[in-house]
Amino acid sequence: MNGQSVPASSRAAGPETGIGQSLLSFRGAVPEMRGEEQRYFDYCQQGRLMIQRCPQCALHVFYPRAVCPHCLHDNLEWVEAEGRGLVFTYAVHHRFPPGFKEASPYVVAIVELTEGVRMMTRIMAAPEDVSVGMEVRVAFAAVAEDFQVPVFLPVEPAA
Amino acid sequence: MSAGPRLAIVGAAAAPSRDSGTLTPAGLMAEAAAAAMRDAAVTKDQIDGLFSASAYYYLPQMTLGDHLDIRPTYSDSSNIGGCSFIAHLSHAAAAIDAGLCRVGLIAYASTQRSDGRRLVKSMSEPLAYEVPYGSMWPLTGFAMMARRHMAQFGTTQRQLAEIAVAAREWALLNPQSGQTRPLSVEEVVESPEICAPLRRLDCCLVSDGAGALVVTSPEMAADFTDSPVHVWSVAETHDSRYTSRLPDYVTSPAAQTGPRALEGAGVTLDDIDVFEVYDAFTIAVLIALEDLGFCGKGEGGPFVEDGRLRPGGCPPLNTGGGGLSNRHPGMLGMELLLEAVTQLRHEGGGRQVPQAQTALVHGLGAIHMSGATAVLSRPDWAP
Repeated sequence: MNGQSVPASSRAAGPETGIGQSLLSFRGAVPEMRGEEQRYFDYCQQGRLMIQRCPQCALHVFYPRAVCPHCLHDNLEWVEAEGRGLVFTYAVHHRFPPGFKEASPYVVAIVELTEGVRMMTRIMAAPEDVSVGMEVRVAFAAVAEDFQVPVFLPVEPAA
Repeated sequence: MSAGPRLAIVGAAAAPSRDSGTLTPAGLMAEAAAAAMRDAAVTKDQIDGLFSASAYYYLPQMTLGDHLDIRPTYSDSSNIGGCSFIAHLSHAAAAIDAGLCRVGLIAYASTQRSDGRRLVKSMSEPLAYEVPYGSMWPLTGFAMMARRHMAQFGTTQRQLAEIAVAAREWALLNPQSGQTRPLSVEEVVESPEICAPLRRLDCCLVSDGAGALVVTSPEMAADFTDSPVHVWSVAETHDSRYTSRLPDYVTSPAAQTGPRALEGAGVTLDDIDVFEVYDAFTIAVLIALEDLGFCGKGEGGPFVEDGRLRPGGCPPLNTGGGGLSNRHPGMLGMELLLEAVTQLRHEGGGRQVPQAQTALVHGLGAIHMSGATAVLSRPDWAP
């Protein structure tokens, strides 16, 4: 996949999924950010999961960088991710960092996107419903007022 | 074959006050440094190389130099995480070989337990793409490695638990550990889940601690001691900084540094008598053992589950009880080196590995993102 001409990834979390909006929020943390970090999170606020692609070597890149780690090209383009991937691995947090006052354990995961890059995220599902290799799709969850981050939901098997 | 030892450790010590909770990290580091200099019978004005790494201090070797009023001709604060002090051995050997200094002091301290078990601020540098999700450094990453290893190879919680059980058995032979009773596999797998699949007893202790080494060339070592510990080879590398960038979550930099260090010393695993391997978490040891070549990738679980890591088994591993059951002051690399020196000086008391001539020390940094491996020996040993 080249990451282009795909639907806005935020639509995956729309009401038609039957997922209530209240599920897609947690009391997370707003990171300190600047530069390419700021740009990435600005896209997130628009409900778009944007990653980078190198016009020279055609490989995708995440996390966002100034220079392609594969060929050192210094003008990476931003492309919208398809928003689908597989859970590569995950951890179930019973212990929380300061500020994360959650009622129950949560799942922090590494998702490998169809574009081939991996990212840290949350799987918004009960820990017992998460497994390595499961298919997931992106959604956006509010972690603070006016700040949302990409999270992933299980792709339900076809009925 | 190796051309000869690259470096000699002529003094080694832990800080006498490391459990008192009465000193700053700088004070504790200076106390360990002074003890190591006494051990080496080296005077302050003979030290002309300073090496340190810290999660507390921006310029740790300058903090150390100021505290002891040492003005070095060579200074190095390379920081690749917990294994930095193993890498410093290599840097010291290169600096001494290049004539940039003659006698080096490598020192470290942490007051992490006294600080209330919090990671100090610089160590928990916020990573923008990880902070929002409630991940905890480095716990989350090691839990992810454990999960992936289990999913890919069928590794079990009981197999991981055996690593903690073996560490406790060694700690019971080390009076300084303060441990008084053995652990069972059942206790480990029934301990509370902290970050599943890791449980409380899969995780290291949180300790205060400090240590220091005095190093010089093998040729100059005779000026200080008749019983130096020789450093034959050191290999270091790092491959990632963000948790999402770990190459495959089941392989560590030890796969690079282990073979390079062994080859550099002209030895194989069979030539090594004692192993000190960074055990911040049980899974960290399992993966490092595979990567160092004790078994194939994915075979670590079956390799450890028969209890071979307990005292009397083979390989003799983490002979003081390790970070899991003895002491884990933030960055464990210095503790690994101190225990290796203890074993090679035959000062291990009840935990001494009989006739130990050689030791391999492997440290990691961050979440198996960096690694450094060293091969050490007694002075009368040669490959």
